[in-house]
Amino acid sequence: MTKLNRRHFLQVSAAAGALVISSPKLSFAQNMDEGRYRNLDANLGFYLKIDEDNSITIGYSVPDDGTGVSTALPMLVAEELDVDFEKVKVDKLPPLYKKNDDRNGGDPYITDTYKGNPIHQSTGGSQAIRRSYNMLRQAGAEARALLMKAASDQLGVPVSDLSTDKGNVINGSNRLSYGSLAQKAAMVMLDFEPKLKEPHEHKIIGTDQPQKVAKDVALGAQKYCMDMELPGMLNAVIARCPYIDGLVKSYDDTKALEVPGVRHVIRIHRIPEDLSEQKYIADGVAVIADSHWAALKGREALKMEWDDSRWAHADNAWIDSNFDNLVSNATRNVRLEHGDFDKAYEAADRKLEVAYEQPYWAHATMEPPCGIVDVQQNKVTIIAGNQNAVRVMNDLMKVLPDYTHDQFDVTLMRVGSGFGRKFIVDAVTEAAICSKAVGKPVKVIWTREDDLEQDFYNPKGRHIFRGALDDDGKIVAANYLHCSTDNDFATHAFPAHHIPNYRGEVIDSKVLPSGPWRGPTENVAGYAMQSFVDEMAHMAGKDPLQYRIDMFRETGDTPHPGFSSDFMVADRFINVLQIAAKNAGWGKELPEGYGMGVASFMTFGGYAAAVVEVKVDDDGKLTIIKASSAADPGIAVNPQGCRAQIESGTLDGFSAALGQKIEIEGGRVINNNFDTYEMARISRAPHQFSAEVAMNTIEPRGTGEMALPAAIPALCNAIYAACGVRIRKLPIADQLEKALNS
Amino acid sequence: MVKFTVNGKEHTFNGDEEMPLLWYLRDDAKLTGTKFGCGIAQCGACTVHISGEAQRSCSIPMASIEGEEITTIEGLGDADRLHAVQRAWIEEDVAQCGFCQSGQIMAVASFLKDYPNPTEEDIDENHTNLCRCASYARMRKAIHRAATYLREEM
Repeated sequence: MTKLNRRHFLQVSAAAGALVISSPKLSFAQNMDEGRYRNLDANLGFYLKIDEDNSITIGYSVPDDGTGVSTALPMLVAEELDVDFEKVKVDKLPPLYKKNDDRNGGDPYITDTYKGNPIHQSTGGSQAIRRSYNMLRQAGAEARALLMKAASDQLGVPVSDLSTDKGNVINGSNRLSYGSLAQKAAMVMLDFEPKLKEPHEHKIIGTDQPQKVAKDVALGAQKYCMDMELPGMLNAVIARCPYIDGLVKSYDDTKALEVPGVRHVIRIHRIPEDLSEQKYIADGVAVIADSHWAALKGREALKMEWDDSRWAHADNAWIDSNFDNLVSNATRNVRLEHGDFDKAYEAADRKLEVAYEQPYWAHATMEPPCGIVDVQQNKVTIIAGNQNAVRVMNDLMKVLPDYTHDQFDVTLMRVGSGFGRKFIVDAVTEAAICSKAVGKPVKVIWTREDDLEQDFYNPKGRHIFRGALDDDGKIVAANYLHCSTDNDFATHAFPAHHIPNYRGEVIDSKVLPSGPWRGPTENVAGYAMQSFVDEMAHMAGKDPLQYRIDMFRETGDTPHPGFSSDFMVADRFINVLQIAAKNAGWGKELPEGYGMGVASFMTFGGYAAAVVEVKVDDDGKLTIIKASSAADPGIAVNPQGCRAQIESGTLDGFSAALGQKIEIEGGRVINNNFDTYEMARISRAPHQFSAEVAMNTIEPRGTGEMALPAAIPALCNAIYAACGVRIRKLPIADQLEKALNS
Repeated sequence: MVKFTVNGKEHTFNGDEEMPLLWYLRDDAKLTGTKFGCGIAQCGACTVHISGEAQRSCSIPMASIEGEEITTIEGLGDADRLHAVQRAWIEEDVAQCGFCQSGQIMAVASFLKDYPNPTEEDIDENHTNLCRCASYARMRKAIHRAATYLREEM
């Protein structure tokens, strides 16, 4: 009963009276048994199901780590399908996985494409919306076209006489519900290409939609990986070597095995073995028990002796001196150069040489890393809460080389926050190692101490600028040395292209393992570059807002090396700056001790600006009075969700800037829980907050990372405006108290 | 043996009395709405009510709850009869990842008994749960909205 229109990549089929469209064209739907796709060969990245009872379900495999894609992605389908979004049910699918992606092959983020549109299964890099935008709309449009074709056949009228509205095909006074047409629609052939709506025709995209999970979350009913169980499951807690690149020297598990409930103690070997490569799995010993509590007690009873020799010399001061050494002696990779910096700098009268620094930041995801794996003879069952569906399978196949992709049954849960940390599948990999060793399902939960000690931190970095003004107060020359992560993100950012004589250089520095953290590199490049611009504006005696706007006006659009946008569009930057400034009341008279700061930054193709108002008391006490953030992501699919991300990005930036710093002593991280790793509570969130999305019709970019890189420098610039103290080193911590009381 | 109630039902516990209440709720009673976040009463993801007071269950040993009435997020309201704080949380669309929100809601439900008409400063001083997604801007609005609902209920 299935007919496939081969001009389209979407598989269309009828199952139990329903119209089902799935992608890619694999035999899923005809095997469908009341939606129990999990038991089938469910190689799909997406499906849409319209039942006879008019219920509509949209399934997708992109994980949601809190950025709201589980609401926004179905909106894309619903828009083109033309249904009432409130009535759409959403469903989470296992990852789509194709054989050619096994192990080393293929892009880990994409498993299939159609006409250049990826079937995207990852959340992160602000890519979920961007990379799903066309594919999911096409799916909705095709389903709508099939339903119209079925109605056309039934009524004997041309498709051109039909329209749709909220789940009905309409012809004059006739209204045929999608459900009544579903079975027929699954069997018709399309003789026309469905056309996507123009942005001005959107009825769902661009409307405020609450998160679909909001009620489940409020009831405590939303499940995360940590909440899941498999029958006969054991629980593992792992003693991981706390020293950087350290190893287990010896251990005694006698006492651990005496703890009631403890069943096994096994050795976990570092991955990779080569200590010169960044750690993926720490060297350690796993205690496997009936309950998490027994495993925790078992771990406490282990006697561990660690080999800490490799980095025993590393502490905060040593790492700082290592930076001094790198900056003086290491080879600099020139990443971007135009004009003649040296000549222009030499010739200028007004100059500034300044360095900014940030420490290592931890992800500290609210749900610590967790994984559940059952390695059986012919099957591997996995429950995980990770950001990239495909990477879970790729990484597990590395430790389970005897299994092929089709033997993996993966359930990906809602992610208890990710921020880049949950790209890494370490906890799940550990669960697989444990399960394979003991022949039972094993759940691994990391304690917070494990998490903060073994994180893949946002890298520590130093940013050294030399800048010069011309006679008009414009930046005529700048040299930016970014000593941290070797990539193009920092050196190409605003205002690199707005300075006629510029050299952006990078030195790679690495001690602790590092990985992506909300707005990788941009998060700190924003702080450094936008502090530098502010210092130059003040040296020039110019208004810092107008200074930026003038730079954009004068230079116009500038090139940008990828990262979701080939250009930086000056007008979009100016627009978000003006929105934030207007909402903040930029330029208004402020009382003594108050100040406003501004910054703007582009992250993953999205434009953001922030204006922050602060009060600094005589004794250095800092109060953030108001934050005004604005972002232009292009089309805001769900503006309410976008605003949530702008709010979150801004406050997350404040949290990092105010107090976060990983401390290292004797080759290990010593502040390993929330009593010593300081993250902002509600008391640090300003009482006044404005988050605005600039509305336009440009193809969308994700908002998860957009706001943070501008928020931190806007705060620091506001502090300078309020009290004259320039924050050249994060965190802000007690710097103001020290500076103003000395 | 420890006897107590959870969401109105009687429970008895015969195991290791050093075990924190959190792990009893999650692993024995299968009430997983109460979350583990830090284990040292710093983040509040594990907040429950013990005889009406918000407490961080990761640091409450089983030995100390004899005779107590425990309420978890599952017992605060249900889908048809939401607690005012849950209603406000949904209406303000507070949750992002959502993992900490059971604890936030339980903490706020208790806080609003002591501060039925809270100022911003009351919130700053008394609400100390951590939200890693920093959903604090909406949380602030939801606390005021919940306070209004609770005053209307009285």
